[in-house]
Amino acid sequence: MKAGLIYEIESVKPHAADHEYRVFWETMAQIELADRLGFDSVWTVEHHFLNEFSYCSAPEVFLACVTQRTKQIRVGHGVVVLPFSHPVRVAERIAVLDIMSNGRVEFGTGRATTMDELLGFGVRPEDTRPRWAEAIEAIPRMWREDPFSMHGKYWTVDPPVSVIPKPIQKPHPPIWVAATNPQTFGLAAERGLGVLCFTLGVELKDVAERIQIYRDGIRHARPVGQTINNQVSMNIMGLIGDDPRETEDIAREAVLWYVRRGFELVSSVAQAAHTDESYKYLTTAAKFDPAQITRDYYHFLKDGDLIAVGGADQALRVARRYHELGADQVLFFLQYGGIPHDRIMRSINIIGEKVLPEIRSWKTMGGIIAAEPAARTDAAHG
Amino acid sequence: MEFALQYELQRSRPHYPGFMYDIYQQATEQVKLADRLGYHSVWTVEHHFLSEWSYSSAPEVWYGALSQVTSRIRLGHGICLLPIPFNHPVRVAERIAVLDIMSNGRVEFGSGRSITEQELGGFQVNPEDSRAMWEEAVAAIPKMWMQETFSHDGKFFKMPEREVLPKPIQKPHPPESAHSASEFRSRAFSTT
Repeated sequence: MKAGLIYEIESVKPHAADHEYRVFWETMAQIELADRLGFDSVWTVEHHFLNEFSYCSAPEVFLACVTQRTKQIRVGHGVVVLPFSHPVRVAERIAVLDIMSNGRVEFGTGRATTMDELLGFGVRPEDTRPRWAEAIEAIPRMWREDPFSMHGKYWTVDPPVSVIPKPIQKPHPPIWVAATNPQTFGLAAERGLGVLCFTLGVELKDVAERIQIYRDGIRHARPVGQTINNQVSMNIMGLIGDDPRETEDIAREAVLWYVRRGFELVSSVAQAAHTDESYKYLTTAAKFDPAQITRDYYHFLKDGDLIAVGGADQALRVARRYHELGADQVLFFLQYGGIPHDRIMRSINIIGEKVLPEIRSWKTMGGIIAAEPAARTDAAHG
Repeated sequence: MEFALQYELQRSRPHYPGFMYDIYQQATEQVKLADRLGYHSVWTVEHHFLSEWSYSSAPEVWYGALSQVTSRIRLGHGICLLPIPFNHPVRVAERIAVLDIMSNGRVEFGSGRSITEQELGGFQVNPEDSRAMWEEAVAAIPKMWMQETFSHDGKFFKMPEREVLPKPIQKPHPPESAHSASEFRSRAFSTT
């Protein structure tokens, strides 16, 4: 099994004058350490306007910086929000990032789940999935078809153009989609995409069902690209330290802060999207009163192996549970809720030295295989 | 007088496998040399679809990389295309800000509107709108940087009040310059 890191790039209040500068450079130091310790990958979100929750509004720039300060670690978009950019621009950015990283890019995609972001860019909730579907079909074609043209519902490129440069990974960088609800696991499988589980707070028996939907579906994939990326990635939120009790004291409030803020943000879509079925799964969050997210909720997460807080044994135990569920990769999520930089560095050190060597020896069922892209007649299908 | 480099990231035919990779690696080495020699700045276009003429379709990404292998040279967008189908103004403000943070305040923000039929057509921009689109975006972006929150109700984009994050570290914001075919001011080191 592979292991990496995932970042929102958070900075909670109170804010010092240089807090944004500091959080970006602290994140860079953490990633450089992970690269030296042999972590497989680092992933960053794309979020806009979400003060405290994420400063990672231009991951294409930050990840480009990462490529020059690291040697082996793969750089992942977790994820590019496809409804917010012209698909040509996304294809171009991924290609340049692939060139500058010597072929280390992982291309994760998604559609946004907060009203703050959707309204900010003037995108209607009911349009996000069809926009994503149109772009995810078009982008791999831009890399293999020259000249390229498209006639979609949201984007038209005609007369035909050359989308340049091209990525250097052949046939193209691995493609993924962020998934929380069962439906998206199915959509990922249909298109031959890897699945990045953003399932914090979902009980593992339910995650297992969703992974099963994915593994069943991908056997009949009609890939959008020239590969079938049959891989499941799961996030492990946590904090690992030398003294388990002290580590827990630091992590507890940070975890609760993150969950509270996260629920507030995503519940806005569920409340607003009355007409859109595809966001209904968020209504659980919408009904959740942030005030109820207390110590009990922390123990629900901890006892259910939904987070890993404590010593190296905790990280190993939770990783093993996710491996049993069918994960091919776990991404440790360590930077949230104001956890100090030195604690995160220590976590990365401990995971790198005591957890990675063990995890690496575990066989997984997924992988990337070459495939013929499926012909599609309707660009905006799905 | 300051000296600078200007790039299209160009390669005429004949092409060979891997030539696009070579363009980027060689230009990166050239900029590293210029940085050591004390050149003031490097400027890079944003062009799309123009095989041979320019492979610089995502200068924001190349500049992220350059910011980490240079220490003094200023990084100039010469220019960034502002009509919305190319780049949403919010996304431009965000990218420039992250680049400013990661380059320790070395960004120069040049902007323009595109002048080729291939690019305007490829992104479905009406040439008659391109100047007005540029004007609307170029006025909005510094406000996104300087104001804590920003809202806009214009002809080409609208948005409710939002915090555009992060902010650039150069104060009040990175230097701006403009370049379109007929409007060119202040900078002696732009071409085309």
